[in-house]
Parts: sequence; structure tokens; C-alpha cells
Amino acid sequence: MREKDSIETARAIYDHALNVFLTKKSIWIKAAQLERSHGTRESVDNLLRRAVTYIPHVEVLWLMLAKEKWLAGEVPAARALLQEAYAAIPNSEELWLAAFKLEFENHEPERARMLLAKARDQIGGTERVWMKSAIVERELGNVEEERRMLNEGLKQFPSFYKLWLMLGQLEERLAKTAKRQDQPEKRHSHMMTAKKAYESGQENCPNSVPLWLSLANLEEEMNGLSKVRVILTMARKKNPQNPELWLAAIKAELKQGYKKEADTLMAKALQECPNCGILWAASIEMAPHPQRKTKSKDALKNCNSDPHVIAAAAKLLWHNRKVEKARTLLNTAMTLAPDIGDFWALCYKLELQHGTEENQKDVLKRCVAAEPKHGEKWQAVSKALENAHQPMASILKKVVKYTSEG
Amino acid sequence: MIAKGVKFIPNSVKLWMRASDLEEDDVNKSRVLRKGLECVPNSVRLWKAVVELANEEDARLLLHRAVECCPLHVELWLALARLETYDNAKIVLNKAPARLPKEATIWITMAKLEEANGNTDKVGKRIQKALQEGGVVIDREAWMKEAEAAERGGSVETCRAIIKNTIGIGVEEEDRKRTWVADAEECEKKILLRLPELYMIML
Repeated sequence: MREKDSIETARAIYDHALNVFLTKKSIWIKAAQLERSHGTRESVDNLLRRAVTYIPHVEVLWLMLAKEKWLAGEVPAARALLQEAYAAIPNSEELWLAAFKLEFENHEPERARMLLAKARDQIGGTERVWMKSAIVERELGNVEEERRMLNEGLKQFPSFYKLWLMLGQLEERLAKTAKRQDQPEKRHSHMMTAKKAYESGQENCPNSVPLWLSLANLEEEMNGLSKVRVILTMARKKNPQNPELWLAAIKAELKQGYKKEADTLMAKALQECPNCGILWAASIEMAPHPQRKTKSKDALKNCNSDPHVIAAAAKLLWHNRKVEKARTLLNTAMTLAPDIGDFWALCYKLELQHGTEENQKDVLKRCVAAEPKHGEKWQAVSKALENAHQPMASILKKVVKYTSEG
Repeated sequence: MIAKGVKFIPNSVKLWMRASDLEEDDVNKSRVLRKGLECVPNSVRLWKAVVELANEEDARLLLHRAVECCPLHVELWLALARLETYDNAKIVLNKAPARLPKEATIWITMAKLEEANGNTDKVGKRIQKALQEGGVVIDREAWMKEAEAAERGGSVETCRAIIKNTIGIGVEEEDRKRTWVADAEECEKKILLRLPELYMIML
């Protein structure tokens, strides 16, 4: 499928379109993305340079330009660009956060911390600035400071669920440390505090699914399946038609070996969300092998070719040794949802086993350009503290490794 | 039988082709075809068959005759241009538009020829001429296909010139942005498989 693309033609079209629509940011962004996927560093740089000359007030173009510099290893140049951008767009929160990220990801936590303090000073603490402030402290291991930042932030923004989530995670981390040090009481007290954080979070943001899921996880560890069932039932009542909550409930049953209960839940889930791709994809994988093909077709029809279903169908084909077909389907899934890292990992794994070195490089390059952020397995790896500051390529490889281990 | 046949019906291209098929070696095959062309000089099929059998030098000479006899067949002009030197090819192609004013392919080939000889500045002019003087009547989609074909054949300048000059044809002012972005995405092969295709793959 990929060998037939006509990149020069696409480039010529954007070129012409940009001559006509010199100030349309969406075309600049698309043209830049084309160069990022298929061009060279120089071609991306040239294009974005032109873009910020014509529309200097558009943050995202500056951010892309600075990011390219950073990816090329030119951190000082990236820094200079962000300053140039800040002169064009004063008081931009995005630019403050980008400057922070640049320092933070390049192992300059002190500079990063200083930037955030300045940002809190100049544009006032926005919710994201508070969150990033807590993240720096977490990285530096300053538990008290981290907690202080989270609480300060929550005073102003109690409905920003991520701060509650971080507060709960902070306590869970301390509970784990206590466990390692064989201090069961201390562990219990941190777990209780974590629970309280999630519960307070819920009162303030009852529709935050991640908070419900974290609470369910914690309860599973503390009190077992029966409590998880209660929590997730309540969660579903407050958030009807939410596939993630259903899926969590199904997985909790499967984990304990309750296949029948899981199937019943899945049937109910599909009744409530009949067009939901992640549920259908999971139901394909839950079906006994001989039925999976029929199930895949049903799924494709029911959710109008959802990328999750397409990826599940690709897995099935791969399993049946139809590698070429599996590759075509995975590429479709990746095109439909470039943001989901799990698909990239799956495709990379397929190329590692069956593709040429060139295929592998191609997937890697496209993945780096797409910068996926979502996906169950992807996030499990990318959000793990020990993987902070890892480049896209190594996250991809870790996800492949992680999924190979089951 | 066939020999008798061509005597009675000398205008039947089918019979001539068959007669040539029956010959064993290329020399005789070719002789039969040439005889056929004496009777039916405007048969593209016979010309093509005879050119295929010939060596490069003969093919060139044959094609010069062929374009005289069948001036409306673009493939013959293009085949001839391919066998000629740059200068001669240019002469050949310059004659073609007078006979085939509506054939975009001729103009595109001229553009590619200029590009291959380093005359980048003339590439765009050829395409523009196709649009202005030739009255070429192919639509936007067909031009796009030509651009992609040019890219695949390594004629990047021709590809660019085609896009630049034709991408706006028949597109309403307010649709331009959307249409162009969709075009570019399609070129990048961001087109997605539709349900029937997915089904086919699952079979």
C-alpha cells in the first residue's frame, strides 16, 4: 500500500495551495506534517520557517519548529526559537509550557523549575502550570513540595481531575515504598489517603473516568473483586455509555478467571454501546479462535470500520499467517488513528518478525512523526515514571517488548 | 487458404495478422506485415506489429512512416520520440500537436523531454501551452493522474508544473482549500480502505 504514494505530487499541491492561502494555518500544518513523515530535516525546517514568517501569531507552528530543532539535537537553537516566539506572542501559556518541557526533557530540572516559578508569576498559575510544577518536584524526589504544588493547584482548580489523580498516585507510590520497607501500617495509611484523594476528586469531577479507574484499581488491591464490582457499577451509573468503564469491569472478571461473568458483561456493554470499537475489538479477542473471523466481520460492520477493530482483525490475520493482509489492515488502523501507540507497536512487531530492515525503519520514522500518545499498552509504558524523558523510538521498542511478554 | 484470403480481401487486417502469425521467422513475418501495410496503410495494429519485430534503427524509420499514415495515434508519436535523439524528438513532437491538438500526452511528453535535458524553465511552458493553445480537454482528475505518473517516472518538475497549472481547474472558489487538502492527502495514500475492501481482506 505504501509504495504507491505520490509525495512529490502532494508536495506540489500544498505548495500551490500555500501560494493561494498564505495565511491558512491548517494547510501549513498539513504541509509540515507531510515533510515530517516523508521529507528531510531541512525541508521541514524551511517550510516551518516560511510559515512563522507569514503567520507569526500561530503558536503551534513555532512549537513544531522548535521541536524539530530539539529533535535534531540543537537544544540552544530550540531555546532561541521559543524566545523569538514569545516575543511574537507574549504571555502565551503554551510557550511557557514548551520552554519548560524543553528544559525538563533535556535533564535541566532546575531551569525547568525556575521557568515554572516565573510562569506562575507572570501569567498566574494555570491548572497546567500547577500540574507541571508538581511533575518537576516528583522528578526531583521532593515529596513535600510535590504535595504542596498539587494542593495549591487544587485550591484554585478543584475540577481539574489530573491534579487529584496525581495526588492519589503520590500516596500510592509512598504506599509501595512502605511495602518494600515492610511497614504494613504505614502502607495502609498511605493507601487510605490515596483513596481519599480519588474520592475527593470524584466529588469534584464525577465524570472523570481515570479517577474511577484508579479508585477501582486501588480497591482491587485493598479489598478484592467484590469491591471493584461495586465501584465500577456505580461509575457506570454516573457515566452511562462509557466503554472504558465496561472494559475495566470485564477485565477485572477475566483476571480472576470468571469467563462467564465477563461474557455477560460484554454482552451488556455491547448493548449499551453497540458502535464502540474498543469493546468490539476486545470481544473478538475474547471469542474462541474458530469464531473470531465471523466476529471480526460483525464488528467491522457494527462500528463502521473502527481502527481498534481493524487492528484486532489484523492480529487475527497475522495469527493465521496472512502477514501481507495483516500489514495492510494495520496500516489502515494507523492512518485512521495515528495517535494510538498500540497500533504502531503492533506494526513494528510485525515488521521485526516478517519485514525488511527498511520496513522497520519506515514504521519507526512514521511513528516518531505521528507522536502517538494514547493506547492502553502505549500509555502503560510511556507514563511509567522510569520511562520519563525517553525518546519516541525507545518507547515504541519498549511497548513491543512489553506486549511480547504478554 | 490465408494466402488466398488476403488476395480476395486485401483490406482485412485480421487476415494479414493471421498470415504473419503463420510465418516461422521474424523476417518473413515482417515481410507479410509490410505487404499488408501497402494495402491497409492506416492500420495501427499492423504498424505496431511490424515495429515490434524491427530493430531499433528500422523501428525508427517505420515509425516516421507510421505517424504520417496514422497521425491521430498518440502512441505512435510517443514511441517515435522515445527512439529519437533529443533534437529529433523535439521536431517529431512539435509536429504532433498540429495533428493531435487535444492530446495532453504529447504535451506532457514534451515537458518531460525538456526536463530530461535540463531545460527546467521550459517544462512549465509546455504544460501551459497544452492548456492554452491545444484546448486539451482532460479533467482535473486525469491531470492529477498524469502528475503522479510523472513523479513515478522521475520527472519531478513536470509533476510540479502539472499540479501548478491544473489543480484549480473546475474547483469553486470556496471549495479550493478543502479540495486541495483532500487531494494532497490522497496522494500521500491516506485513503482508507472501505468496508467491502476490508471484508475482502478478511476472506
